[in-house]
Amino acid sequence: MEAADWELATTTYDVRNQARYSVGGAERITSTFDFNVNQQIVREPNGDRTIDVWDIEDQSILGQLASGSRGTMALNADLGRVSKES
Amino acid sequence: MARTTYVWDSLSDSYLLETDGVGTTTAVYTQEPSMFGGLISQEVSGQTSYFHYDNLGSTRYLTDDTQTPYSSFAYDSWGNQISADDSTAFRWNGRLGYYFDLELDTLHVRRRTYSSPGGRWTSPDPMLFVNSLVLYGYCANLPAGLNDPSGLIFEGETEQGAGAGCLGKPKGVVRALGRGTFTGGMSAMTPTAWFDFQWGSNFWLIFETPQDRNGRNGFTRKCCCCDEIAFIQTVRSQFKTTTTATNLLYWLTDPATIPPGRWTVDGGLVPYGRFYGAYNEEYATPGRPCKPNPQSYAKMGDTPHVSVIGLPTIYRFEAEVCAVCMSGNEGIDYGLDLESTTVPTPAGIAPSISTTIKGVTVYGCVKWGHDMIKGTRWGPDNAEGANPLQNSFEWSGFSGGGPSQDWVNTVTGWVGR
Repeated sequence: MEAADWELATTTYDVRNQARYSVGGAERITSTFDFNVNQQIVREPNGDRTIDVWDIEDQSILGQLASGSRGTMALNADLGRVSKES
Repeated sequence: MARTTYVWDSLSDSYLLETDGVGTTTAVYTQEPSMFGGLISQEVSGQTSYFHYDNLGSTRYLTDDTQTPYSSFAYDSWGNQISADDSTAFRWNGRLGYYFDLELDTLHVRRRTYSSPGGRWTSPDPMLFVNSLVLYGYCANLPAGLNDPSGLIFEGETEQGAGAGCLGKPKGVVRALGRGTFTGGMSAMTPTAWFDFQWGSNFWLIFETPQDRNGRNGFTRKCCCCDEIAFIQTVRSQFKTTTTATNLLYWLTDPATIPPGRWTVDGGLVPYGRFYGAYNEEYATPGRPCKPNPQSYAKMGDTPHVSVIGLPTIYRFEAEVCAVCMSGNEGIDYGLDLESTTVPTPAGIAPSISTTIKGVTVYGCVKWGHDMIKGTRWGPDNAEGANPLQNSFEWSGFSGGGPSQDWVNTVTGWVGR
């Protein structure tokens, strides 16, 4: 890999150690977290958003990419994933 | 919308098969009989593929029935795919069940979800600060040598079995294999009182260090890193009853009530496993306590009695015993937490201090337990349902035998990974 392929990215963390901003060149990725500090939305420089929805056990039950691709998950009592719809 | 249903092996917490929305099996997986499995092959649409891994356990090649490679994979250290196709969801760390969700571009790793681009978990550590102070961090930022198949505790292997140097104080949970082997067994117990539905098993386990030609055991080859072996046991039970039930189990230490379906630490760290017969004054200095003695072993036994209030119809008891280092260079790393750092201590009141285990070295684990289902003999006249309150369950090892069984998951050798 040539040196030109590398680009320095600087990430800023908040007091909870959540990665809030990642800046590479002129572009900036922003992350937001829900009340239970699970990663909820990641916004790409072009405005695309990746969204995660979490249940009360802090398990991911829905994910959606900016492309519209999404998956919904069902869990059993042991918090094991038993199904996915996509 | 396409629906995929996953069927798990609850013992090893690994994938067994997948079905589609109408219940048709779409994939069948073969796993090694160890914790988190150890994916061997998959069968999709009648085509069986065999996995070949790198040292970390990431899939590098798939081969077909004729041993011909037909798919290859490559990743960077954090799991970003350099080259991959869609022939399997088990890619980076695939041997341990890391499941790549193509439509979400994330890895489902049992309890948590991992994002390769960020090199972090997307939710905080459910174990809080057991692993590190960084709640979203993946494997202490050492992804090339450690993994975290549970999503709860990261682990890694060392070359201790080959006689490499000491681990030093562990950070997190470190597995150092090759120091010894387990042997063990189990026998069912006679119920002590049928009227309150008690039953149980006798279980014994020995962790023995191997000897080399010079009589040196697994802890004295190039360094002797552990003064004392201990066992720690986690337990859980799952049951269904006809009434609201309380599940009371008598453990290594004290009677304890455990919530059904959740893993619970059984009485904490139990120093049952000193090296009986192995202690030698010559080596009785810190870091070198292990006598080169063929009887260098640590032994424990457990006789859990179970008392369930109600009429259970299905019952499973599971326990996982791990041999860990109690003291010495590889002994438990404790840390002090000053709670007042986050909650200001009122004036005149001393700050609260608690101790947390920061790291532990695990030399291997064994799972054991028993299953029980409702017997057909309920009443004194052997008629089902004749008098359900006047008879207990029948099961293997007890009078009359029965439909239940005890099991020990490959107790000889290393279980787990």
